[in-house]
Amino acid sequence: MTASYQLIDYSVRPAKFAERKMLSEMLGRLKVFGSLETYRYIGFGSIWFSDCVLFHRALGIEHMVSIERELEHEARFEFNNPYRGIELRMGESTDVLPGLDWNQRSIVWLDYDDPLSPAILDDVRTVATRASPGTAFIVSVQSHKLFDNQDPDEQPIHIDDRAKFQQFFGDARTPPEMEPVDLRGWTLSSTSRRIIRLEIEEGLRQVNAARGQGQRLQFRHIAAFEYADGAKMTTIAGVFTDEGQNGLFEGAGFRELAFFREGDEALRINVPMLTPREMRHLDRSLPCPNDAEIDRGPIPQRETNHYAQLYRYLPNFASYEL
Amino acid sequence: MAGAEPHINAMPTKAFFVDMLVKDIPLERAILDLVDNCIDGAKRLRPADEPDFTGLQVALSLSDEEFVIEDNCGGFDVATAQNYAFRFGRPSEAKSTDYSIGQFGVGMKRALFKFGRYFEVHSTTQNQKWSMTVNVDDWEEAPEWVFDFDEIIEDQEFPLEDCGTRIIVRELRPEVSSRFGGEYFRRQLSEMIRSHQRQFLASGLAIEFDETHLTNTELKIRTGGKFNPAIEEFSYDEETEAPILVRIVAGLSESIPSEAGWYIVCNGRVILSADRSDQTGWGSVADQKVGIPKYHNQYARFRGVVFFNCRSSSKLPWNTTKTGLDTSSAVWQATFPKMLDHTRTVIKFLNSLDEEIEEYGRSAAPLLSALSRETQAQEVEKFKGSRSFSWNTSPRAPGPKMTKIQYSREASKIRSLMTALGVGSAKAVGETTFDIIYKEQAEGEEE
Repeated sequence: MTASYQLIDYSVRPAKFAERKMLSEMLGRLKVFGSLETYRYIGFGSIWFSDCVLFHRALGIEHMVSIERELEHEARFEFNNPYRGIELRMGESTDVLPGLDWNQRSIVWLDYDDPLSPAILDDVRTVATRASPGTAFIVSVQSHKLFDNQDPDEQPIHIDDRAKFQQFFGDARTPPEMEPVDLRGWTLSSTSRRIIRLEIEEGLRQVNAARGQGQRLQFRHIAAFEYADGAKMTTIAGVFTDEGQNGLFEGAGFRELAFFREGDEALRINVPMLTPREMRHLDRSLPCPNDAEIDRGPIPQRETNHYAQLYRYLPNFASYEL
Repeated sequence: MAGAEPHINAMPTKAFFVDMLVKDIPLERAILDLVDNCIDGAKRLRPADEPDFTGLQVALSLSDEEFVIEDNCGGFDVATAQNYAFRFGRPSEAKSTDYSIGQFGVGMKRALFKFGRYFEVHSTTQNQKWSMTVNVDDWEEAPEWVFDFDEIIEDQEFPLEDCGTRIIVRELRPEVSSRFGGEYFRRQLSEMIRSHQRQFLASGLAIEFDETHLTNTELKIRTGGKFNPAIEEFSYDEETEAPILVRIVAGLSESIPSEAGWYIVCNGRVILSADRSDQTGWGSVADQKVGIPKYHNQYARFRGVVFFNCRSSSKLPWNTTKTGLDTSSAVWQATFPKMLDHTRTVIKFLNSLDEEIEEYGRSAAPLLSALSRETQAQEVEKFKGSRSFSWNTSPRAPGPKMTKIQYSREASKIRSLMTALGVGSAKAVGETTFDIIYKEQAEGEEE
């Protein structure tokens, strides 16, 4: 398997870029739970450290942990590490995550290149059973196709029905109802998110049984994204709160975010195809509460809508192409 | 010590007793025990060698607040409740159900105490109807070891479709409440019921779980053409009133690792499923004969089932709680060597199948294509009449003889060639480079 950093410069994938910006806006509102400087960031920085750089600059987070599994390239990761505050931990996330100090409020972004697998769900459970209240949790997975690769001697099996899913994921993780459509196209994105969310709930259920009244944790879902810069990807984001933090959560303003999502539905990030001149033209009507009222000139409605939804989060490298 | 009692008091306190009773049983097991009791009711209602349970049903629902199980399997009468059903342990004079699977002795009470601190039992038979409520805290305070009826209606006819039992447990213990409320627990439990009670589900019994209708898990073996599973039938203790009928079926099915292995079925209840441990002979070295290797995924097509049936359930090779195998029982000792023989035969076949797949590849192996072409999957219950394992020993080879090449090269070099040749996998790099060099160096040489 090729390490993805060899193929893609994360900073130029526009939908990913927009997602990171939106997440950053969401994370800024965590300050109701404690100052952002005291938060620790845990992520998979890869060779670009785009997430660490953004969250350090935009949020002021000082202590960051980047987990990296490409052991043989450790020197190159160290070389590319942009800040003293980023601690590089070499190893599989499965091995590194349980050993971190979870008493600290954290922002955890498990940003996988791979599609959902039992190993990923195990990581999700590790976080859900350890996180302290106020911790934000973001999970991204590829959602193009699922593969069963448990037998290293065989070609991975494309999971396209419930029986194959059950074979790989086991009885407990397999929904009672699962149609082939749930395992393909954009529907797989929402299936992946639902399964991750349930894994979080199950993890909390386990630890909450031993917690007293008032200390039981809840996962408050805040945002979900799906997009296809190349392969389809999907993300869910939320925060763990205890019963005493309900008021703080409501006061934080998460619900006012344009991309706030509580249910199963996600914001589809459609990057508009526009020239820099067109963008500048649209900018003059923005922000605008009603897309229909934008003076769009000859620009198609569809691109206009996409732009109006995302313009604050899009990269502006396009202008360099002039 | 004037006035002192002449005895030393050894009476257990009820609280201690309840705590001990519920400790050693897993929650899933306790629920299966209750389902077993319902099935025993069905067996009493429709006694037959191959009963038809159509129309009978068991409905379970569980949440973090409450557990309910309800059946229309005949109910049990006041006398049974008074004298047997709620006694701790089975009184020696208790009458038993033919081919029973449940444990009237402890199963029900143990489950009820395990779940919560409050329970109700309602039962209706054709001429009686009764109910009881137990508040465990109050019961533990009271000195007598009795429960009280709430109501008893006798000498009245009740329609057959109303005859059954309904059990409700509330004030669940916190750890139980947390698990009953969990989606994963409920999914696992429903899979467990599906596989353990598969034969009763197949006989028409309906089990509703949280308002979902459970279907039986499929256990099939392929047969047809020159392929047949091994079937061996014999009986044990034939001279007695309750002989044990044993039927062994061993053969081939789809290559699914999690379903491969031995299944042990006692009076219709699956007590071991997909077992690949030394209990069923895997990884064993037999005394005289060649042992059975440890299970490996090349045996993922192996399916073996042993059915034990006996009117008197205590003679079957299950442990006292009827939840696992009693390997020291005589009938098991008599069956085990026969299972080893059949395992060995099927494994020998699977080894040669594996070698052929190595040689020809999955798509071209003649034996594998004969297997999928000639055979169809059939429910294991349908295999009857002893015969030996057989297969197609001379399948047509579909093309020239093939040999597989396997080698390793630096990953970065393989990636370079993937780009250069425009192919998507290491396998394709190997095949394409072979074809190129063959064309250049050896074309025209073959006959």
